[in-house]
Amino acid sequence: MAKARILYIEDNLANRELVKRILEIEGYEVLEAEDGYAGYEAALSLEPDLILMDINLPEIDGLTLTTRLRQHEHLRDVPIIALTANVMKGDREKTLAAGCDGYIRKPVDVDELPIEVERFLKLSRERRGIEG
Amino acid sequence: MSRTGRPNHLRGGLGRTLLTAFLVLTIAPLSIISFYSLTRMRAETAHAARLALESQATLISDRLLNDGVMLERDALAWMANASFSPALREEAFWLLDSQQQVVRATTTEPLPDFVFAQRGRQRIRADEQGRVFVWRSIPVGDQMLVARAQPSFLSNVQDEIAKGIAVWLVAGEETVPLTSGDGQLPDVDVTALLGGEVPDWLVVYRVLSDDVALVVAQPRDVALAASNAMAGALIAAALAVALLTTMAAAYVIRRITRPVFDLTMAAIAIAQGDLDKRARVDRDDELGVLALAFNTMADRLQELLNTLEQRVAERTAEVARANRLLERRAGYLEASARIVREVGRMESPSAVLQAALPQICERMNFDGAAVWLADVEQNGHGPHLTLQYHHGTIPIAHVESVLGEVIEAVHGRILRQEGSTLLVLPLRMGEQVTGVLALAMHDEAQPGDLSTLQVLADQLAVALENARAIEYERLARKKLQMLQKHREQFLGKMSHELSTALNSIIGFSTLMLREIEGPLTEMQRSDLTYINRNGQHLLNLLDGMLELIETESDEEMPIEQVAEAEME
Repeated sequence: MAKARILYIEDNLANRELVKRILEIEGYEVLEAEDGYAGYEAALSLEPDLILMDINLPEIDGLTLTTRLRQHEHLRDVPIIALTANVMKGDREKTLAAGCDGYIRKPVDVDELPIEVERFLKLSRERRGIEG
Repeated sequence: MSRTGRPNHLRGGLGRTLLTAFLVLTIAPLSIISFYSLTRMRAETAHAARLALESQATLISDRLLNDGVMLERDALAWMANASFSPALREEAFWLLDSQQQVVRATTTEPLPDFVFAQRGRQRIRADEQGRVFVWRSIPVGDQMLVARAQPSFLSNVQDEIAKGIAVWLVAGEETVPLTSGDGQLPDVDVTALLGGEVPDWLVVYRVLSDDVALVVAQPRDVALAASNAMAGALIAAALAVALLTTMAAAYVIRRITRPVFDLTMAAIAIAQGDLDKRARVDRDDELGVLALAFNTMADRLQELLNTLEQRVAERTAEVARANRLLERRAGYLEASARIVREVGRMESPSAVLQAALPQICERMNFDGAAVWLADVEQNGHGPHLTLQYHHGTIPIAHVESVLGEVIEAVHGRILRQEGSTLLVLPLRMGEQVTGVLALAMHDEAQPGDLSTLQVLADQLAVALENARAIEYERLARKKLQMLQKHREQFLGKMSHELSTALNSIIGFSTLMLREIEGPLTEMQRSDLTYINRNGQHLLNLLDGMLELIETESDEEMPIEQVAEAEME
C-alpha cells in the first residue's frame, strides 16, 4: 500500500523519470502526465493526494492550470507543489497567488524532495483532520 | 419775476425798481410842486381877491366922485332949465332958498334931515326903504341946490353879488348894505368885519367924502372858490396826468424789461441745453445791441460745443479703439495662457499641436495656424524646419518664404497679403529657436500684436519642449521595460534549460550513488561522484549568477545607461 498518490505533471522525460524514481523509493505512488491537458484530466479523475506541477509546461502554463484545478471543489484541498527553475522575485508570489501551496526549486534535491512532499502531505492531512 | 403763469415784467425787480424810481423821481416832486403851487395859488388868489376888492372899492369911490360931479352938473343944468340928459338914475333936484325952503323940486319927496343937518358937499345915504342915494349940496348964491341920484356903481353892485362881494356904506352908526343881500351871502356884522374880528372874510374899506366909509368884503371861501375849483381841477388834472405818465412810464419800462426778460429766458434755455434758442432783436438801442451780442455769443457757443462734441466723439472713438486693442491683446494673453495650460501635460508634440492650433484659431479669432519644428539634428546649414501641423486656412508657401528670416533674426514678422495678415513668430526656448508659429487673420495687425503673440509662441515652445521631453522619457521607459522583459524571458528560459539538464545530471548521479539497483565499483563510484560534483558545481554557478542578476534588477537602472546600452 503506497503512502500516498502523487501526480507529477512534467513535459521533460528525464525529469519525470528522476522524480518518479526518487518518490517510489520512498514508497509513494507516482502518476505522470506529459502536459497540462493530460495533467488536468488525471487530476480530476485519479484523485491524487498531492500534485507536483512543472511550471514551464508547453501550451498551458502551470500556474494557469493550477488556478483551473483549484476551481474544482474536491481539488481545493489537494496540495499542489510547483516545481520551477525560476526563482526571480515575484515568481514566488505568483506561484502562491495561483493556488500553489508551495514550490520546490529545480534541479530537485534528491534528499529534500521526499521530505518536502511528506511535509505538505502532513499539513494537508492535519487540515483535513481539523475540518473533517 | 413771478415763476408761474405769464411773467409780469413790471413785477420783476427791475420793473419794480424803475417804476418806483419813476414814481419817486417824477410824481413826488410833482406832488410837492403842485402842493406848493396850490398853496401859493391860494395865497395869490386871496391876495388877488383883496386887490380886486380894493380896486372895486376904488372903482366905487371914483365912481362916486364922478357921480357927484355929474350930479352937480346935471343939477346946475336943471337949475338953469337947460336940457340935459341925466347922467344918473333917479335924479332929483331941489332948489332951496336961504331959509332952506324948497323953491323948486323935481319931486315931492321930502328932503332928509341930514341934508340940513350937516354941511358937506356929498353924502351917500340909504332912505327908509333902503334905497341908496348920493346927495350933493351945491350952494348957489344964497340958495342951495340939492341933488340926489342913484349912484351909478349900484348897477355894478348887482354884478358884484355874483362875484360874491358884499358892499356896505357905513356912515357913523348906520350901515347900509348896497348889495341886495338876498341870502346869497351870509350875514355878518360889518363892525366886526371892520374890526378884523371875522377872519373868514376879506375886508377892504375906503373912506369916502364925509364920514362915510365904503366897505367891500368877500367871504374867503368865495374869494378862493374859484381858486379852489381851479385847484381841484388842477389836482384832478395832475392826477390824470400822473396816471397817464405812469402808464406811459410803465409802457416804456416794459419796453426795457421785456427784452431783458426775453434775454434772460433765452439764456436760461441755452443753459438748460436748448442751444438753438436766440434772443429777439427788434430794436436799435443798447438792448438791441445786447441781444445781438448775446445771439452772437450763443452762435459761438453752439459752434464751440459742436466742435467740442466732435472732438470728444473723435477722442472717444480713439479711446474705444485703443480699448478694443487692449482688450484684444488681453484676450490673446488670456487665451494663450489657457490653451497652453490645457496642452501643458500632453504626451507628445503632435498631441500638443493637434489640441493647441484649433484652440488658438477658435479662441483668438485666427483664420489659420501652422507650426514648423526644427529637426533635432543640425547638419551645419542651420536648422531644417518641417511643417508639423496646420489648422484652418493659411498660405503655407508664403510663410515658408520667410521662415529663414524669422529664425535668423529670432524675431516675428507681419506679412500683409490680399486682405489677410500673416504673423510669423519664432518658437523660442531661451537663446534657441525650436520652430516657427504662423497665424493668419483677416484684420490688420497692430505693431503691439507681434509682441503679445510672441508670448503665445514662447509658451507654445515650452509646451512643445515639455511634450517632447515627456514623449522621449516615455519611449525610453518603454524601451527599458521591454529590455527588462526580454532579459527576464531570456534568463527564465536559460535557467529552465540549465536546471532541467542539471536536474538529470545531479539527480540521476545521486540516485546511482545510492546503489539502490546494486553495488557500484570503485571506479563507477568515483566517476559518478565527479559527475555529481560537477553537476553541483554548475548548479552553484547558476545559482550565483541568478542571485547576481536578481540583486541587479532590484536597483533602478538609470535611463541614460539603458539608452546608451540600447544605442550600442
